[in-house]
Amino acid sequence: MVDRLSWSVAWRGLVRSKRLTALTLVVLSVSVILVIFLTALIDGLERDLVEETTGAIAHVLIEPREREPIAWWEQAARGARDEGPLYLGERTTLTSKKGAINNWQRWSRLIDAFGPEIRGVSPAAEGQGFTIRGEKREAVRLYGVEPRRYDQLVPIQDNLVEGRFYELGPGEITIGYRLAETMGVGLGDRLKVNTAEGTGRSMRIVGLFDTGFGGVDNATVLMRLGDGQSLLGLGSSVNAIGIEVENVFQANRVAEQLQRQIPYTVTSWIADNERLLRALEGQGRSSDLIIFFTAVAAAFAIASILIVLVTNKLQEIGILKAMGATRHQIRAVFALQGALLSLAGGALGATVGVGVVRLLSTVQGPPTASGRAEPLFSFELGPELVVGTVVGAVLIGLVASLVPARRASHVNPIAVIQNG
Amino acid sequence: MADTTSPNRPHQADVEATDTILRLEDIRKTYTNGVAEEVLFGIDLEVNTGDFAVLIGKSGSGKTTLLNIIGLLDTPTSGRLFLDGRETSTLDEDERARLRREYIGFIFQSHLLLPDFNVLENVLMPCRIRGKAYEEAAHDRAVEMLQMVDLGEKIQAPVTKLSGGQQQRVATVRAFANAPTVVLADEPTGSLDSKTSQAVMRLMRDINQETGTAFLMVTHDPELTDYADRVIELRDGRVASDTT
Repeated sequence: MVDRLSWSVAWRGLVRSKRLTALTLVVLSVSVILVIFLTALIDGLERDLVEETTGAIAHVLIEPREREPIAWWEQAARGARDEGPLYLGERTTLTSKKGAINNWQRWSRLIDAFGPEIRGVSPAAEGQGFTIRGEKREAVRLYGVEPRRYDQLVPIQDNLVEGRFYELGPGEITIGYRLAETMGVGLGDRLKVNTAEGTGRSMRIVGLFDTGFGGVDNATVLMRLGDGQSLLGLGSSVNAIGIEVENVFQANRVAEQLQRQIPYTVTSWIADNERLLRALEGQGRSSDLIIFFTAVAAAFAIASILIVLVTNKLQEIGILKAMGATRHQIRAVFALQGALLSLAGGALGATVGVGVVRLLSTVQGPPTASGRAEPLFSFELGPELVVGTVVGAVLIGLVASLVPARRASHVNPIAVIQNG
Repeated sequence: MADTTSPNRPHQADVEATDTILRLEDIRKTYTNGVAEEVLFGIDLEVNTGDFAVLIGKSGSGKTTLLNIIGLLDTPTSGRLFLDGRETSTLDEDERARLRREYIGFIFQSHLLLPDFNVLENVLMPCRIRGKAYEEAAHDRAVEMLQMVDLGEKIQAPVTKLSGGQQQRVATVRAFANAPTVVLADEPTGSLDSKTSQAVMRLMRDINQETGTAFLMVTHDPELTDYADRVIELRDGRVASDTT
């Protein structure tokens, strides 16, 4: 327990030793600013990298199983070859079954039932295709989607440059602004949309979007699910169900759980991005090392300064001990000084650190072609980082005060009194 | 060990005048810094309530060592020391600290005040060490004693702004703030001029007579023995004489 004696001696000591107190506060504040700034910057970078990677794709994707060769006797039934036996050495063109997910509504309900870790489920009829206007021809990815569901996977509605997305009607498409530029089309223009198999239809552009993801803005054509199913020949089926999860790093676990219940191929984004994950882990370790060494440096600084404070106060410690102060009371003085210094330094550093981060967050980078402006620095600053750093600083202060506090508690009052 | 005594404990004047406060039995002290050096050779001594004793002797006779042992700042190599009937040689450092703050007041040759605190806070510091209740209980008496030594106007002043004589008077008052059973003084007037020395001695004598607090004072100044009613002479680590 800390009593009035320890409080008063600790506080007066800090107030009287203005220079040392100020020096400690500066050291601590700078350490806390460094930790907050670097952590927020590294976390922001990690968030951006993950968002850049996962922002335009489903975190978990359900697809039909790998295409299976059609047996030779089925080929004949489908008219792919003539009736009759297949002889050794005979050449034949193997076709394949078109993969599809039937009764997707059932699987969608099952996925929704997983709970809060699922943020969105979007069925899609998707495939490769082309947009054609006059002589111009661009390879694109065609998506037949339910707009509101798809918007949970890829943010289209909020990134509309003009036009609409949610209220797509039959024969209407929303496309990336870059694709529109390439094709030389604008809102209200018609564009021929062909599948890779050659099926095509003329559709009217009712929306242009700028998501910031190059692959999406350059080569995506969005249409109603029914139009996509019709164009790609899927009937009432879909060939993909995309899932957005709450925590992108839990995507593997969600995929594994789903795989046990769904008779299709379930993959997570992580499986295709292991190098990125390893890079993020490496970056995380670097960040931890920086924080560790900053904390160690701060701890040594506090300990050094407290040792100087103890040395300066040897006589007073001796007087207090001669008058009956216990070792616990003396230790409490320096533990309190360590805690007070680190709390004040932590609070000051956190205030300045948060201020610096917020200030730099407002600095905008050069705008994109569509006039979209992004912050020059990307920070991830949450209350847990600020509170955690201040709590960490106080703990470091307490730990750093242990050695000087112990030294003070062992001062021999006789030596001090005789030298007084 | 908890400090269980009341902050409003009756003062020593209420205690029977012949009570033995301190009893030393065959106290010996040997310093062993490479070579063993024996400083005290079997001291037997009793100090009673109301005693105003002066401890004299040449340099190196063991006066300060004996005072440190009696004040529980140092431990004897052998022998037993009883404080208010309690044997102290087996106590650990913190237990001795608690006995010090409960029973003993110190006046050092150098005033040894705490520069971060003002006059009144310095006087009340032994009480603050014991706890808030003791500090509050001693407040009015501390102010009264400071007024007695002409420092009533300075109670809020920083001690660093006082003269040497004023500082020693603050240190003297501090020794009584906690109503100790015995006050140990190591050449309390050693750094003072003659006039201030006499004022401090009169103050100590007045308090001794008013409260019955026992005094044991080390001094080189033979004139100060005039204030004492008991003179103990140490010679080569032994009690050479003990006269009243």
